[in-house]
Amino acid sequence: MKKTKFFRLKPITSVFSLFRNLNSTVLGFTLARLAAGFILILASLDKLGGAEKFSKMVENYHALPPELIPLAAVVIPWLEFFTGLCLCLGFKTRGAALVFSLLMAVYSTALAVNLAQGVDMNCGCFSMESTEKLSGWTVARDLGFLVLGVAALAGPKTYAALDSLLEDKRIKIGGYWF
Amino acid sequence: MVTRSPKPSRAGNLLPVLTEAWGLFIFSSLFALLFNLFYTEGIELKIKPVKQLHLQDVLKSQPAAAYPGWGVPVSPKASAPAIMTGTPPPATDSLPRLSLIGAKDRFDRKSAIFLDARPPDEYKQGHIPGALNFYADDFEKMAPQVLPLLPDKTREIVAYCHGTSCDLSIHLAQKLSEQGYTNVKVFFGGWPEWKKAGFPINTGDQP
Repeated sequence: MKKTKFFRLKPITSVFSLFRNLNSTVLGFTLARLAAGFILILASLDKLGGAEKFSKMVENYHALPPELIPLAAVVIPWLEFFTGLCLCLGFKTRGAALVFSLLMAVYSTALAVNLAQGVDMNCGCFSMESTEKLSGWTVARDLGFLVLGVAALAGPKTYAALDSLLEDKRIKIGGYWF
Repeated sequence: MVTRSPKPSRAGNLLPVLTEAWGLFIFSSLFALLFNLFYTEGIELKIKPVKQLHLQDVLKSQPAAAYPGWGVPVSPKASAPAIMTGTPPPATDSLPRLSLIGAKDRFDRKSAIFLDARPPDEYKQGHIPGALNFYADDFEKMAPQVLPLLPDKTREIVAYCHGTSCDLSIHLAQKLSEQGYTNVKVFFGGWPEWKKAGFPINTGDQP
């Protein structure tokens, strides 16, 4: 007789059973990852369509040679967006966390250098329209984001990540695991 | 017998992370460049530094040498759909020039002031809507009427006349830059190209 094995999802007996096995440390890292992704998506949304405006903003920072400014103005917003998306979904988490950390390191350095030179300019950190000026607060904020990024990079595997799902449910086609 | 795989070292963990990050960067860059290519408000990626525009330098050189297309009459029965008629002006680096598409873009966005450098009678027969008549050969005479309408010297100004065989727009642009206007461009195709393309026109002496 052919044996058939049925897989059944465990019924959720109570809301608390969902959280019974949660590790608070891992939960903390999960939240850090989600926060980093959310912040980055939020920061990128205003810049996605406005490359012309954003290029002027990049120019103000005097951090790049003029030939690279339009290229940076086109690429950076989408890089932010996809990195944020990866962090939120937990897809390619470590790579995305590395990009996030690098971005934040570059931003905080650029902010700090311009601040030290006493340049009076708008931060343009989240919205290009906002009139938020460069200040110690903006540098500290970016350094705080950098901590989140390093946490996502060096921390343990987190909950609700696509990576873990893909790791368990690999498909074998023609002898190769995908 | 169960063989345990050795615990991956820290350095072993680094490579996949770098690969992932690099892949993410490449994917985002390609996506961004494609998006910029097809997006209507995409920007021009000037990889090479753009030389500052010096109109005077061009005018000092012989116009015939600078623009071989000049003097070639635009054939009235050009078969190509009038996007580019006649010989397009060659790259002279230092001349701020606009194509038909560039001029139309500024016209649509109302981002530039158009100046018609042809004589008033030609202007009356037809001109780009909104363009002010500023006959280049009567600059001194017309300046007191037109210049007060252009108070912002950094505003983009597009000068045109009757096509590539005409240098009125160049003269006008030169005189304007002498007056301190910093953002003057020349629409080389001028009136013939505009009319051929079937873009909106106005007649009469009102802009």
